[in-house]
Formats: sequence, C-alpha cells, structure tokens
Amino acid sequence: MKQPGPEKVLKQLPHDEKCWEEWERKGGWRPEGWKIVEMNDGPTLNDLKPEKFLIVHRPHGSMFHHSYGKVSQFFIGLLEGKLYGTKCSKCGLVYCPPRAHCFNPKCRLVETKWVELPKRGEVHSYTIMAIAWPSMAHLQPLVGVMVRIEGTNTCLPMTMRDIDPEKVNIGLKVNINISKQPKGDLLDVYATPAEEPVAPKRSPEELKRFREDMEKTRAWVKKTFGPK
Amino acid sequence: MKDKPLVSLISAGLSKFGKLEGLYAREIFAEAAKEAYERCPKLDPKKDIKALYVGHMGESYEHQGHTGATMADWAGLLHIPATRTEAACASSGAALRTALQAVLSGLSDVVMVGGVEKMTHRSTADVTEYLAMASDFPFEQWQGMTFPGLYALMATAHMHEYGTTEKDMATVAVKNHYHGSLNPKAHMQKEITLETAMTSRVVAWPLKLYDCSLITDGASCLILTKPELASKFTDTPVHIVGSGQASDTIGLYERESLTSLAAAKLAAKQAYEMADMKPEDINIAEVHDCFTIAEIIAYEDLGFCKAGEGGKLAEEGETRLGGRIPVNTSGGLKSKGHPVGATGTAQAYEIFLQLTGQAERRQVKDAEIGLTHNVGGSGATATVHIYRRG
Ligand SMILES: CC(C)(COP(=O)(O)OP(=O)(O)OC[C@H]1O[C@@H](n2cnc3c(N)ncnc32)[C@H](O)[C@@H]1OP(=O)(O)O)[C@@H](O)C(=O)NCCC(=O)NCCS
Ligand SMILES: [Zn+2]
Repeated sequence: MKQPGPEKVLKQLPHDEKCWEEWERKGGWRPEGWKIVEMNDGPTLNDLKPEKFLIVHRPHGSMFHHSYGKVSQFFIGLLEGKLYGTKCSKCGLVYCPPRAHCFNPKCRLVETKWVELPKRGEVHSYTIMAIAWPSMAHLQPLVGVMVRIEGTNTCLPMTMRDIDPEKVNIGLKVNINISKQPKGDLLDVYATPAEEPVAPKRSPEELKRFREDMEKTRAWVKKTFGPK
Repeated sequence: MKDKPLVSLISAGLSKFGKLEGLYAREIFAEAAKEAYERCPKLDPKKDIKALYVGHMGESYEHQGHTGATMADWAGLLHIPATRTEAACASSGAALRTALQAVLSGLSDVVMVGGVEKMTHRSTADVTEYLAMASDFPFEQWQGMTFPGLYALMATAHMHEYGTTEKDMATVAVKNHYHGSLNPKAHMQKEITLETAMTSRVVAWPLKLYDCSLITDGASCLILTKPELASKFTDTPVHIVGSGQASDTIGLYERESLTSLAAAKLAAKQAYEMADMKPEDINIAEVHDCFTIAEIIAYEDLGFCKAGEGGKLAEEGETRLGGRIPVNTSGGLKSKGHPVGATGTAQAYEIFLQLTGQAERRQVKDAEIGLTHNVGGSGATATVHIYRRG
C-alpha cells in the first residue's frame, strides 16, 4: 500500500549536526542546511499525490536558567546531603516532594514548615525504563521507583540502584542515598534496597520473557555505548 | 427530560493522521476544516460560525504559538473570536467543553471547535521532552521519568493490586490495531498479533512499544450549534447530552490511588448525571488509550466494568467490534495516532461518524449513544462527553 512519505530527497545542502553547539557563540538562527523533498500527501491513503517541500536545519537551543521557587530548600538540602520535606502545622500532613502551602482544603493554603526526613522509605510503585532520557540511556535497564519516605503522605520519584530489575517489587523497604557530588536536581537522589528483595509473582513464561527483554536492553546498551 | 440535548453537532472533519512531514499544523487544520465544510453544504462558514476554540498543546514543536488566531485564519474564518485551550493531551476535550459553554451561554449560536498538533518532524527525544512539560516540573521532569514511565508506574500498581497481566494490555493493542486497520485516516493501518505486541521492545516495563500511542501529526474539528438550530443545517445531527470535566494533582506522586484516575471518574459522574444515563446505556466509546493500561483503567473509571476487571473485559472481546461495547473503533491513540492537541475532538469525530452511520467498514450497527473520554498528562485533566443520535 502507498504510504505518506517516506520522503525522497530531491536536492540537498548537507548540514553538520554539531554546528548547533556553536550556535550561541555564533549568535545565529540561520539555517545551516536544507533539502527539497518530494512526499505523498493527501486526506486518506487512497488519494495521495506527490508534493514538494523545503525542509531546513536550523540551529536552536539555549542555556536554561530556572529557580526551584519556594521548594528550593529541598534542593539546597540535597547539595548538603540532607533530605527535607514540609509539614503542615494545622493538619499534620507531611509532604515529600515538599509543598510550600498545604493543599488540604481545610487548611486554606497555610504555609508549611521544613522538616528533615529519615533516609528510609518503601516502594509504592516501579517501572524498568528501557528508553530513558539520552543522558541516562547508558544506565538502562534503569529501575524507576516511587518511594513513600518514612513518615510522609506523598511519594518521591527516583531511580534505584544495586538491585536486579527482576526483584524490584511494591512494598520493598529502601534506603535513600544522596550523591556524593550533588548537582542540584532530583537525579542526586537514588534508592537502594534496605532488605532482601522478594520478586513479584511471575509465571514461567512471564519470567522467561522478562529476562529476554532485559537481555535485549543490555545488548542494545553494550552495542551503543561499548562494554563498561 | 431524559438526555435533553445541550448542543448539537452538525458537522465534523479530520485530517489524515500520520507522519505528515513537510506540512504545517495550520495546513493540517485547514484540511480538517475543509472536510467539515464539505460535509455540511448548508453551512456558510464565514457567515454562520461565530467563534473558534482550538486545543493545542505545545508551541515548542513548531515554534508557533497564538494558535487560536492562526487556525481561524487558515480555516477561512478571519475576524471571528478565536481562542486556544491547553490541557496537555486533553486540550481539545477542554476546547469542546468551552465551546459547549459558549453555545449554552447564548453568546455564540454556531461554534467551531477543534485541535491540532504537528509532532513528527522533531526527534523522539525532543517530543518526549515537550510532552514531559505536562508533568510536574521540579519533581517529575529532570529525573528520568518519561510519560511512558509514569503510565508504567500505574500499570505495575494495577498488576500488583488486581493481577492484570501484560497479555491483557497486549490484547488492547491488538484490538485497536485491528480497528485502525479499518480506518483509512489512521496513522498505522495494520493488524498485529498478540505475539508481536508482547515481544516488542520494552519502553518502560511493563509497557512495550505496542503498549504506547504513536507520535503523530493531525487535526480535527467539529461544528456545534443550539439544538433548535440544528435542522437548519442538517437532517442528521448528533446531540451532546452530557459533559464533565475535572482536574487532579499535577504530580502522580500525590495521588491516593495509582490504579484509577480520580479526575476521569468525576468527569464521568458529571456527564452521566447530566445525561441521566448509566454506563450500561453506552453503545460505543472512544477512550484515551495513550498507553494500553490507560484504556483498561478507563473501562473501570467509566463503569463499563468493576474496578480491577478491565483486563478481563478486553480479554473477553467485549470492547472489540462486534462485542457488547466496542471501544476505540477508530483505532484509538494506539493505531489511529495521538497528535495530542487534536485527540479530544478526533474522538468526537469518530462518534459523529458512528452515530450518523458513516463509519464504513468499522460501522457499529444501530449505535445510538456514544461517549468520549479524553485525559491530559497522567490524569491531571479529564473530560467526558456523552452523545446521542439525532
Ligand atoms: C514508543 C516511542 C518512544 C517509540 O519511538 P522511537 O523509539 O523513536 O521509535 P521510532 O520512531 O524510531 O520507530 C521505530 C519503529 O517502531 C514503530 N513505532 C514507533 N512508535 C510506535 C508505537 N507507539 N507503536 C507501534 N510501533 C511504533 C515505527 O513505525 C518504526 O517502525 P519501522 O522501523 O517499521 O519504520 C514513541 O512512539 C513514544 O514516545 N510514544 C508515546 C508518545 C506519548 O507519550 N504520548 C503522550 C501520551 S500522554
Ligand atoms: Zn494542612
């Protein structure tokens, strides 16, 4: 069957993928390359017609300056190796991630107070990421968990280390670690098991497929980034 | 009166969904608008249409904001009031709700509502980043959690609590690809096997490639009017008889439950009450299957089955064409595609075709009552609408 695209390049000025890195220095947004392509276009697959389009490659990116607003203390804490949450003095809810104002309707957005939290918690849910952000792709398969920090009412999302992905489970007790060289974002925090993990129930076929899936991901990482 | 019409749909349009490289969002929107005009020859767009509401999630994709006016211009509606609504993947569900209020208020008697997104020209990494803007900024973004990751957290919780399986989720993908194979405008018009779905590469376990919706370009639109004016434009209107919208915490990490979307349940309750209907009254539904687990949770939140039994409902074929309540006959976000801003009104477009007997090879015989369920992000917005054949 005829499909829209794939594009057929008719004419091209090749561009250098790296050039965008120099974009700020150059201070320009002018295209670095272009191509004229012919593609099938139309309202349904049954009536596609070839049409010509110009596609340009425009360098575009910038440094992102931002604040953490009224929850900055949480991130300042990470820089100092400490874990903070906030507590509502009216209703007693403890937030981690913190909220600067209590969202309990009875408390009418009263301001909360900072409290230091124990570096312990429990897995509330988990996933094993095989398509993570580019900066983390080399860590795949990467365990992502939502952790209820001891004594809090919400859950802090983070990654987990030192565990076989097969064993991670809801209810697992974990320790919270803060990186020795914190950079000031949530990636500074990670969980490690605080007890011997008990794997979730899986049928023999499910377990076989799970292991194959993890193997495929590891093979991809090895192929892409080389052996460790 | 039971199921009294709030407003009437007199026409609808949908662009081809897919990888439409080369085109601009506004050109894709014009394609949808053109179809809506062609379907309704008695409508004089320039003279009759009094306002436009358009759902659009992100200006990052095309570096083009100010979407309301842009789309009005390209739809040939210059000078009408035009407003963009943004509610992540529920942007056009929210636009529909807003359009409904505009008609009900008496301020505008004929309104166009639609949605548009152009995504595929950006890399998957860029798209993932733009989509992540709909999750919590300090605590969900910047720490590795992508949208597939957030829905995977819901999936593992659902598996843990109710014994839902990867196979249940794959069954939803197989069904939606089958439906999409019958839709000439769907992005991926191909049937798949259970084996293909279950052995596809992992994205965020337990979700695999075939559990994820597609990154798609597309646009959709509807034309609404007051019920008493509908007959002026068409003999076969579709009435909206119930509408609900609700919100929830932006962060998934503060939700009481990960196995259900509170906003969707609340929106459904409002819509059912307004329509004076029950889940059993619904013949067909288009639900927000951004991930297969989301469709299973939708069955439960909408009351098509009890909590925890969504996987079973799919497994039994009840939601497949020919089943008790066919869901996502268009192919859903999984196979028809998910141009995020366009999705809400694209769902309504499918219901419009079905209830006017124009769904061709995927027509559900005698469908009379339809429902749409559109979710933003990980569930911080939900809209539900109920439709009746005119
Ligand atoms: C799953 C996902 C990451 C895959 O993207 P990707 O890794 O860049 O995949 P590519 O575009 O390189 O495509 C690779 C192949 O998989 C296919 N493919 C891509 N996405 C697919 C999907 N969701 N389902 C089935 N097949 C898919 C492509 O057609 C392509 O097939 P081909 O090799 O035969 O041409 C991407 O589709 C995605 O992020 N989906 C979710 C979108 C989303 O989160 N939406 C918002 C929801 S709230
Ligand atoms: Zn309080």
